[in-house]
Amino acid sequence: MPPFVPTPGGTGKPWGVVTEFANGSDLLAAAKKVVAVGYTHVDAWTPFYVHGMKEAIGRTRSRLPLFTLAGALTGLTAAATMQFYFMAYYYPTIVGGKEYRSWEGFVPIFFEMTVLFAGFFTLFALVGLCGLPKFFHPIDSHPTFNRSTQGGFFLSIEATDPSFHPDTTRAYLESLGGKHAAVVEA
Amino acid sequence: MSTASAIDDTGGHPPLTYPAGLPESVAPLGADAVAGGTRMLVGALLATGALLVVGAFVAPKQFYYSYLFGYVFALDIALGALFWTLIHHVADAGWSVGLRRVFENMSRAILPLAVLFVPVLLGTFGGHLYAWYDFVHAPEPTEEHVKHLWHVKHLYFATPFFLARLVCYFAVWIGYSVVMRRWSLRQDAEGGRALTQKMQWWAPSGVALLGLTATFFAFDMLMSLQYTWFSTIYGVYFWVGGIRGSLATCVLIILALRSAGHLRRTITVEHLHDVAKIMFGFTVFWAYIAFAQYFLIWYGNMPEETQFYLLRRNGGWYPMSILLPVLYFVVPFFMLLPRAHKRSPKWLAVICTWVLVMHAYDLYWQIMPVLHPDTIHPHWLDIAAPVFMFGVLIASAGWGFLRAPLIPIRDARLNETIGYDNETP
Repeated sequence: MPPFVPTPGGTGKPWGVVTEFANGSDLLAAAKKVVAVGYTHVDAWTPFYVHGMKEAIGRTRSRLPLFTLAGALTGLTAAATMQFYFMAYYYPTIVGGKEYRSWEGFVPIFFEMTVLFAGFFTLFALVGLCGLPKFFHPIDSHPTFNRSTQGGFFLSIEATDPSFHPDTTRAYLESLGGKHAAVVEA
Repeated sequence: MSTASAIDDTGGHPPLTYPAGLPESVAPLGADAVAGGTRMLVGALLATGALLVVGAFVAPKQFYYSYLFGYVFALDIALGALFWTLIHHVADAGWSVGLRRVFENMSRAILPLAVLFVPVLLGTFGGHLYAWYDFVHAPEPTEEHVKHLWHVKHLYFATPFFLARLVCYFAVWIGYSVVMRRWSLRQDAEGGRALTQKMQWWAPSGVALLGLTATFFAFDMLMSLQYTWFSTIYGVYFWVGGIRGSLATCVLIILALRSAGHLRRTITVEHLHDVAKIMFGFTVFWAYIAFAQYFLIWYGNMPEETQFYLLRRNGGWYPMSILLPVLYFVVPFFMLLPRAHKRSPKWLAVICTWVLVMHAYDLYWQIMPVLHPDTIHPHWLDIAAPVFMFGVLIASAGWGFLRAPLIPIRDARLNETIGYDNETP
């Protein structure tokens, strides 16, 4: 296993260190040690759910709900503005003998626009936050990583981690019992 | 904990004994602070009840309306608790097994509330509460436009039919609440899967009957305050108020038990998170129902339909009507929106108290304008009655916890509810 795995068309900078463990408990023990040492940008890649992993490496809250809320407020504001402007000012229309500014009649549209925009914002924010469309991920360059869907348990520490250093991080993961530890090119 | 505790809800069966060695956190409440609190509560109830009796002589008409208001407030919550008990059986819910005993204990209140229904009957047949009483018991009117109304209403409100309906409602409610709790307690003593299957077999019919009876109870007791007005969704409106109120009460009871050191590892923040999600959903549902009722009446603009809302536009009722959707929908909506609030016991206590107070506000807004059409006239009975009735509910639930384990200790799905986690697949 070479210590540095190049990626076709890569940037030359390291993406992170990837290493393999024999089973879930070894991976969990290693993950706890890695976090205790102070690494934060840690991720585990396993074929199935390993109990305790969430507590060991923590989990990041997605920013997606904020986009949903923003979309909902956008839709509500747009619906209110458009209806009051069109129905009461731009082209006043008598409907059912009611006043021009009958907010009650606008409520269904408030609701629909709120839901519609919240849905759109959620969908596109999800695509954007995930960096889609993405046809290739640097971690796929790791020679044995395709086993992560069958029987391989992988731990990765990304280069964005403040305490990341290609050689020392790789050596440290090997000292924890990781096999095939390698720096992957971004 | 003691090895054998006998309970009274056995219905002729030999006394039930629970297995020895129950953990302190789920064993029936002993003679600790909670039991003392329950006894103090009963004392406070007697005092408030005495106040109500005084009020009945001081201000009879106001008393009957306030009593109805407080009564419906508590009964709605108790029915909501019974509904949740049944729906968890219908859905074969595993995550909420621990919560079920709280709902079962809350629905114990239906029996004392059935006894406390007598003053409402006195008000009805004394002609103090309902305008329809004088109308349907008068001879047939000669005016053409009232004739039809009288013909339609006098059969529906005829005393035998009216009383028979009420007997049916209470029979269904008492039957299902007592039976569901009794089987659940028997399962604690005997174990086995048969009783779970029995409860699941009976629960769907209970949900259907509960829906019908609660709807018609709302028609008979609340909608008939203005007997010329009608709204087909009114039963759902009443029902969803009870659903929200019972969830809020359930969470408050659980938080109280947890703060006393019970249920710590059994009902965790994960369960509270899920209950808060349901509360959020029913907040939106209430707004949907309430607005649908208003919207269709507003759009149709027919005198016999609009009278309900016109009455609530007089004087002080108008700002109260405006504030109702804001305080009962918008504020809880945004309070329950962030995930952190749903997982914080402190926030949940605030939110649940808010929802309960607003549930009372909602019912006050539905009942009191009939008595005071001009504007709001607050009366001390308006506070005493709901406090007394809610105290009856809490006392019934509290005695339930003294007599039985705090969770169904031998439910087969217990391992689903203990250690339940929202994020674990």
